[in-house]
Amino acid sequence: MIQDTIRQEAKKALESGEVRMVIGWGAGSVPFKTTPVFVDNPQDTDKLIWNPACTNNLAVYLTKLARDGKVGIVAKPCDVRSIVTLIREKQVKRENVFIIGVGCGGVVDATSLQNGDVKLREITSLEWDGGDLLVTTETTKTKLSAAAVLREQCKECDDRTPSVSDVSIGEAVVRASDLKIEIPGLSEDRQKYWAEQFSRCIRCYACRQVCPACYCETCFCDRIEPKWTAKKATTDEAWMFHATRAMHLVGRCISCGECERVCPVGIPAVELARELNAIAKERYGFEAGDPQADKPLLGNYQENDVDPAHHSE
Amino acid sequence: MRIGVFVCWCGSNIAKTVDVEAVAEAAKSFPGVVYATDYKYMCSEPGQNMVAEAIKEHNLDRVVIASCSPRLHEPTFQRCIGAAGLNPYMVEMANIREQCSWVHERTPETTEKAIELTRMAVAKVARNVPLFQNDIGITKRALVIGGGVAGIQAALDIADAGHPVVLVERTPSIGGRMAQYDKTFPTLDCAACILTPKMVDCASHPLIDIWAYSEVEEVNGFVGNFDVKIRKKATCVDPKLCTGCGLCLEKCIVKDVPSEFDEGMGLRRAIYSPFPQAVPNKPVIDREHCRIFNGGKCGVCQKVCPTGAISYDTVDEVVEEKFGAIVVSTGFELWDHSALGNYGYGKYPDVISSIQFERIMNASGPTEGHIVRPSDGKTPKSIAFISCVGSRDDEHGHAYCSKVCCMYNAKQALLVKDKLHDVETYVFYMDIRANGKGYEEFVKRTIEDYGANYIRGRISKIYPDGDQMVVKGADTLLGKAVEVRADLVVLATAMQPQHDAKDLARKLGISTDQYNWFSEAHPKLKPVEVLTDGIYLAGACQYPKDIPDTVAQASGAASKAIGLFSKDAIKSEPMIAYIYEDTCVGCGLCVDVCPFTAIELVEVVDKERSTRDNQVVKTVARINEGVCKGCGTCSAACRSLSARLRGFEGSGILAQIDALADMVKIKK
Repeated sequence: MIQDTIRQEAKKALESGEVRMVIGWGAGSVPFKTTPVFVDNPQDTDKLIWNPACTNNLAVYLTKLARDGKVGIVAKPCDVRSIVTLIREKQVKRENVFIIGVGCGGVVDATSLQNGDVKLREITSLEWDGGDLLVTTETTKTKLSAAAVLREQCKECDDRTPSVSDVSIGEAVVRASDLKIEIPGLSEDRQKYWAEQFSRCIRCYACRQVCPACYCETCFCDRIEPKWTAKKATTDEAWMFHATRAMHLVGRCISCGECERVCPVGIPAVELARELNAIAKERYGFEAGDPQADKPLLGNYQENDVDPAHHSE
Repeated sequence: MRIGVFVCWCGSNIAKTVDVEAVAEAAKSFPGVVYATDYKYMCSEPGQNMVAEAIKEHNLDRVVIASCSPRLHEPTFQRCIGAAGLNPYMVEMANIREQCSWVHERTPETTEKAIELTRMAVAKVARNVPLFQNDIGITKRALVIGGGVAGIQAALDIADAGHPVVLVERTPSIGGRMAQYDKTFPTLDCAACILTPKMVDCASHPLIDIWAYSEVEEVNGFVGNFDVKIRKKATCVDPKLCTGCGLCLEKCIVKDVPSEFDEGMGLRRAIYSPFPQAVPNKPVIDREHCRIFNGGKCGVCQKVCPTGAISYDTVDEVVEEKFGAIVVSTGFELWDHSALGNYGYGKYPDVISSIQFERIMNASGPTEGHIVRPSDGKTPKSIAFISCVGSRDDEHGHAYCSKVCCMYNAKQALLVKDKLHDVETYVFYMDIRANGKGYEEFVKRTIEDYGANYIRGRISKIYPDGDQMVVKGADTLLGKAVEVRADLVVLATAMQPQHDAKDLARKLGISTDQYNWFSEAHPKLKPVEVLTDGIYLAGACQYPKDIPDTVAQASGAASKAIGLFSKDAIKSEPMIAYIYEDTCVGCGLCVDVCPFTAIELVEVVDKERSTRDNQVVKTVARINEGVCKGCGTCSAACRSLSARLRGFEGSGILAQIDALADMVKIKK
């Protein structure tokens, strides 16, 4: 139903010529392993799908695709926070995006669905049923608990309807957000923890490529002069890269978790930005992607700001 | 690359704890160093000659001076190597004094640290590139904001040196606080007698434009090239037609507006000049009180005006003007003590402020100089003066001393005795601060020749009893409670910054201190300058001052402006930021963080994406080189490393860090 409305809205926008393309999710190798699709023909709008496995943050494509003309984008509430950040940072003009906002109850990790009798290929529908995910196949109906299937970043999220949109589709899914995110990276032994994590980094930069906030044309780590990090994949150099990237994301990362999802060696890079954002919220009441905030966190100095040097935790 | 290293002893300042010879010896092995030596005073003439000769003899192209803070002698050595034929920016200072010898004992580690600091400077200088200054033209015209005695003096001094001045004043007349005073300490000159000639000089000076009833709205630009928007408030009176005859003032039917100039002790009309000697002597209509602007019928002033100067439909006019220098002389306000209950100000008519008492004593004031109490018009037989009301009082936000109250208390106690021979005066004080020329003698005269009763102690409460006020407090010298019955109580309320000082500071891009007084560039060595070039401070807008200090500072501010105007162009500072446009993504964070509003976003051709037939633009940041102070905030904020600081490029900074890391590694 939501999926039908998305297709109708996309078709309308394409037919009227308001947008030249709609970015959305389409079926992947199996219907619940989704992939980004770029629809530029009204006939193709039935390629667009919507289900709790639509995980990609599609805002990453806007910086290039919405530069010279208007495009439509199907966006979850968290994706909208990315779009808000891009607009504030002047990477996208508001008039160049047509936001088809979709209410969201959290997205799931498709691979976590296949257990026991359920095979990914046989699933015919996924839907939220209270606090559980109802997984239907031709023959079975299984309920899986949210804690077991939700993507990590969705566990504490209570942003269920898009804060900014041109068309808003779907009711917010009611689901208690009493789940807590475990952040092992903040434990006493965090230096050891992160040294272990970064030792696996192969410097493929997938985390950077998938991140909507990483839009620099030349990343600091690709500079030859000054050379802030060497190219070699050692723990020290990886540390320099990830720590600098985390600092670049303070107040800008909307915790979509894409960096963590795409990492081939499983480094939970989002944890760093998530913690920095938690500090920003606690000290300065700042939330990344909040359309009410008129200035970026690091570009807004108030005299009564908490001085971290004198801040007692 | 041929680097020379010169290690300074600074007498014993460095040599006492650092083995300077060992530092010079170690420096000889640093990469690129071809010559290293030490000397007792590098900054002395023989020391500088030594550097110059070594440059020639050893064909040096870069120099490291290991000595004191660059704040002290970087310009010295830039000049030194410049005279020896090198680009002045090919020198680096290693601060082995403030950051090493002064803060450590004489141990091997101290020398080691000095060697490391020198090694880092060598690494950085190896990456220095020549920098060049540009010429920037200047507008030789000054803006003076605030027409009190400070602004008047500054305007006269600048104009006398041959430069045009615009003197902006927000009230209808220049004159400021000083025009309100009766006599001035310690000489007892009549304030008006010494001030009004200066006001008239301003009005008649061919190079001074007085824009009264005007306010600064917006300030852009930079030293030598300020663009200022000034709002000329609508006065309803055409200054070209008005002769200042005063007929309108006499005939105006609104007669009950409390006079700001008389501090509410007298009344004025809705069309008014603040005082008889006002300059310009053109009245203005106060729209808040005029009947015409409050739905009433009137028009009397327009009817009686013999020259037809009055029209009710004038509107505010905002003009944009260019200036090369700005003198800020906006003065002070007095703390409204009525917020605080226990002294009864605002509640009891016979508890007044010192400035109100000035008006009462003044021959042109509301009582024509007769000293009477506001409640019943009777001549007081006893008067209590209370100092430090709000001043030196952390609790009420003024931890500072207002500096002039001790003196005007003494002056008022003396003058009142002069006029009313049988009055008893009491002055309650915390300390008597009379540190000016002739000041101590003046206070002594008040006490000894004029019989003022000086009581050291603070007042806890003032309350009425019959038709008198009871002043209760402690005599801290005798150590007992004291109670004085007075017919009139005069409170020396704290001086404080103008309520909108912060707004003006924001417009000017200058800083304020914790109380909102404007901050000078250096408390001792740059008391007139602010951190923004081309803006100077005069008078009490910086901190409480008496008239002599105010006038002296005004002349100081004027001389700074005149000094600036003595050149046809100023040299730009080359150690400023620039944007590497190829990688700038135009996110605008640098615009947000720049404390000097020196950065704007502009559209340029996107070289990467443009083709011969299709030109594509992109947005990038651009530095206004005249405004940038080279603080480096933008380059710290920039994620794409596109905002950069000349003289402090990432490559040089990283080389320093690498050099230090290498040395630490070797030690391990």
